[in-house]
Amino acid sequence: MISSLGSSFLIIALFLNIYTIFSMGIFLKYKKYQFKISSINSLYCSTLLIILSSFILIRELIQSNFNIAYISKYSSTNTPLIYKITGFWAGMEGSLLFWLFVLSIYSISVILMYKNKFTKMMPWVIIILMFIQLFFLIICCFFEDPFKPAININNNASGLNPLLQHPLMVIHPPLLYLGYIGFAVPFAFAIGALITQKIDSDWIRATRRWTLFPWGCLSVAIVLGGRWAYLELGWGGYWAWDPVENASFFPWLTGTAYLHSVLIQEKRNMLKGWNIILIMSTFTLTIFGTYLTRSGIISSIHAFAATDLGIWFFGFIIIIVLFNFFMLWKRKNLLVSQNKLDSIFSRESGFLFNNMLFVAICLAVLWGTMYPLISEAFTGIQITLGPSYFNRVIQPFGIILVFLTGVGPLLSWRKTSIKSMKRNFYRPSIFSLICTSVWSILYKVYDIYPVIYTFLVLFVIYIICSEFYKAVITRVKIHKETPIKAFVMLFKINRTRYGGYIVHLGVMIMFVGFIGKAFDKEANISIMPNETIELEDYKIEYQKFWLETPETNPENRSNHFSKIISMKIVKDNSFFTNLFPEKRFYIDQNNQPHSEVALKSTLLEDFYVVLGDVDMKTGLATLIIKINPMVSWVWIGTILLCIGVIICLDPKIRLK
Amino acid sequence: MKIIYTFVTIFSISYSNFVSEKQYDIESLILAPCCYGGIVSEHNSPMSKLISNFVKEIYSENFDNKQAISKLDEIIDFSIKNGLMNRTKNQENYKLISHNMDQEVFLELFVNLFGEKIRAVPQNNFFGKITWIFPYSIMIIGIIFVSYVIKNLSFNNKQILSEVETEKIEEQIKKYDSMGY
Repeated sequence: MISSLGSSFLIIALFLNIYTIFSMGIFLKYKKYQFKISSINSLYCSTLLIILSSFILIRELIQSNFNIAYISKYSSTNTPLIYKITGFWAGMEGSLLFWLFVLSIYSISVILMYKNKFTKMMPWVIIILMFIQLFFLIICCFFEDPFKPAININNNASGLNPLLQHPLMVIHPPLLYLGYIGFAVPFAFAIGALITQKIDSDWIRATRRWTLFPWGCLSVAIVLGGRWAYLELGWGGYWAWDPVENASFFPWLTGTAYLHSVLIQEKRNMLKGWNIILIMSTFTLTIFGTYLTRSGIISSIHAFAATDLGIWFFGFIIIIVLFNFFMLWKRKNLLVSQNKLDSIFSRESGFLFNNMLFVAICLAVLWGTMYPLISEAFTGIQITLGPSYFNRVIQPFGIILVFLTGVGPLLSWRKTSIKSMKRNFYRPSIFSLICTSVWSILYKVYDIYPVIYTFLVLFVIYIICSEFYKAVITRVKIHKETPIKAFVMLFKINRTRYGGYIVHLGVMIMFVGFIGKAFDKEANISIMPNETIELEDYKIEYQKFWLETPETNPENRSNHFSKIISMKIVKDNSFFTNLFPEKRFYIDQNNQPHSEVALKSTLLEDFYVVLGDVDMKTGLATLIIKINPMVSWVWIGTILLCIGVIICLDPKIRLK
Repeated sequence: MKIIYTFVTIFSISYSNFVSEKQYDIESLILAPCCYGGIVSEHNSPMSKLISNFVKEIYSENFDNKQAISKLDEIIDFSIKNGLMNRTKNQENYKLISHNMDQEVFLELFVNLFGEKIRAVPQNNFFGKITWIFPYSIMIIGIIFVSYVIKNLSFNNKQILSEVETEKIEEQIKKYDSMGY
């Protein structure tokens, strides 16, 4: 009964959505204000209904209502509560409703925030957002109804995939959706600006936070996805250039380019057209990413089950692209820059090159991701490119990008003299050269890429730190502040700039972790109880093995039984840690096996153990042991990136 | 399932040391033919374990051709048994096996066994070369385009500030920037 209420709410929301667009159109045509009010009220109602149907689905998931087909696929009576809720976005139908839910929240927030601002532009912004919502409502109502009744009611449903039963899977997808869908807001503003012919910097300023927030969410979501893969998939890495991973990377790349590029428009009123193209591309790529993961055109272990939805998403992408081209063509005269560049050695030029690189990386990754289709079209053979291709291709791009990250703060707006460039480059170059040489000689690292990256990362870190140092010292001298107060004041006075530096610092620290990847070590061992094996500085003592079942440990093992071994690890003759790798078998999933990684992280390296299996008679255990240097820095860098984004989300910006 | 794990256990006993960089690199060239869902070096499946065993033997200092052939046979037998391959053993493939075999020969061997679909890198032909070159050509075109845009958007020389004026402005900007204004 309540499930049909969910479906009905979605259908009513669809009609209200059409009414919102229609009445806003009448307002724009005849300037009758009551239609605008009516349109916004109808939007509130449709949002409320979407939120209500989302809560109905969550309620039914919690109550394990297997009369609903979706719930019988993604939940079971044994599934822990938090993962029952996670089921909301675990499958195709639920995730599409979740998409609608997030878009509705974004739409309503934008309307509430800019109720009395941008009076000309806002009706168009609403129309664009409602058109996007309309597409997803049609999909949810007619093709992927999350409330569709189950044909055969199964009270022993299989539940959520064991791989998805992880705390990070509670956070990662919502953040990813907040990132993806959030780009709809600046996109709607860009289109609104084009239609109303107000292509100045106002819409850029208005959407700065609306871009930064989804970008921050997407960045964190990508890293958390990597962290989940690292902890759950048991191959010891966090990025495999899988098509689904790449799908989230495309909009991140163009979104990052956009975030840099808008600074030029804000400061110099240039690149108006380019900024619009970038945000159009970013939004289109979010839909493309969704298409990629749901259409089944590219095979991926992370993709949703292939459905017939692909054609609808493809059609939607075509409409968006054609509409974008039409708007750009229609307003081409307004997109010409009013200002000129003074010199190639300027911050503007630096940003332009940075933009070019981000877009080039995006195209290169897109090429590699779509390669199975491309190769099939040209050679008749479907070839999937692996990480070795992507790593080899992307590394040179990365080098230039990191270099530009360092160079950016050294360049002034308009023009930088050669003399000043030399002066600014001298110290960081010498510092990083000495440090890299010492490190390379001490640790006998002669591989070209780790050495170059180390040099550049140190170069950038030095520059960022010296920017902070110089600013603090100046404040201390002029305002007689303490260094700590001066440091805090920097963020109060110029949040964007210093918050941006923190983001860059975070990214560089993440690169420290990426460099460590080049020194990963892996061993496959078989070991008997009470046996000790030596691996470099580590002594691994296999102590005992045992079995835990839902009967013996009902609190933690409600839906699986687990073979566990205990290991004592000694490093350099002193106790390092005890580890308990597990091999789980999920009862609801036909005893599907899953290795639970045991991990000891330090700042220098991760000791990573995957239990292949253990013979419960003899105790013979097969293990994969990995020593992954510097991985922790990837997560530390992400925390710093988060802090930087929060600092940049300046609430004090006043709009005209 | 149990049979598979016992199988893996038996064949994993031979492991004891770190996987060499060379082994990792070569295992990254092909997809695990059980599901084609990832490269062998990063795929935890019985099939990829068997391939790893074979690669380890090829690059082992105590290389034994008979051992290597037997490990290749294990891959073939496992594949046929699990419906991953539908062919008989071919003597020509055994001839390709050699100590420290070249990456291209390794690829040739596995392409012979499982088809081109196993490749995780482009083919060694004209189209494959284009695949490698394409991303760099985008970058070069991008650099040319940005340089053109900069040139097109730049003032003519008369309007550029003199070095002295630029220095003065820069110092003023730095001063205010560092004060956080």
